[in-house]
Amino acid sequence: MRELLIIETRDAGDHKDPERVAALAAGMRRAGITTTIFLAENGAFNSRGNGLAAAISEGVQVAVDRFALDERAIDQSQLTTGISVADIELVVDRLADGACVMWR
Amino acid sequence: MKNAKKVLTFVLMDAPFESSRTATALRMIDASIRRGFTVNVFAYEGAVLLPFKHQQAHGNLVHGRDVEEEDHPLPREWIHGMIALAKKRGASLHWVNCGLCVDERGAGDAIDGVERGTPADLWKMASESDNTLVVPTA
Repeated sequence: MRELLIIETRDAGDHKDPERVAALAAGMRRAGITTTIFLAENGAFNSRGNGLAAAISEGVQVAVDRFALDERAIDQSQLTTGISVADIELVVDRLADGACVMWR
Repeated sequence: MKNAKKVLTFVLMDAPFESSRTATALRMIDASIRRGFTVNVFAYEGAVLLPFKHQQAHGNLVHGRDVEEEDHPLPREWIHGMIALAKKRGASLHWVNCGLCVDERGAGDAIDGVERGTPADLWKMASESDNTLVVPTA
């Protein structure tokens, strides 16, 4: 595997698993695999706060779905440093490039 | 634009009107078509009802809106639109409903362009695709 994309759709305030996903992403990054977390649906709430800060510091790329932000009225000024805003095409392009994509 | 000859397969499981995953997955399929990719969809379990022909919009009595004002979204219309978009763009959307799942649910009356198939079709789609994304149920 050369690249991993994890689509996180759950709010860390409701589920424990997003924490484990962040830990998995950091571990994959340490193993030398380019790793991105794409926050979609209620996963967009994880773009605020420090829940992903450790993974970002390990080199995990984190992007949040612009559509999900807009649906939830989350202003981009609230995003954790290091998290970018992207459109759904990010997922499509990574798929087309052969990345391993996990939907959580 | 990415290589127009890419082939992607999406595997859907959720029934309509139940999960945000449906809208997200359909957005990905739409974006893939707009990239010019060949797109396969294998729908199973409740997802076979996504293109069900008899879905009906309704008003909203609580908010006093009629059918037109409510403008209730229907997945069958989204899928119909994507099939038409694919034709217009020279792309392809090949949608296959799992036949057993269709029979269980009496969902055989699907919109035009939807085919009936078996898990063997999914295997073939995945084998011939550049990538496959499984969208699990929540």
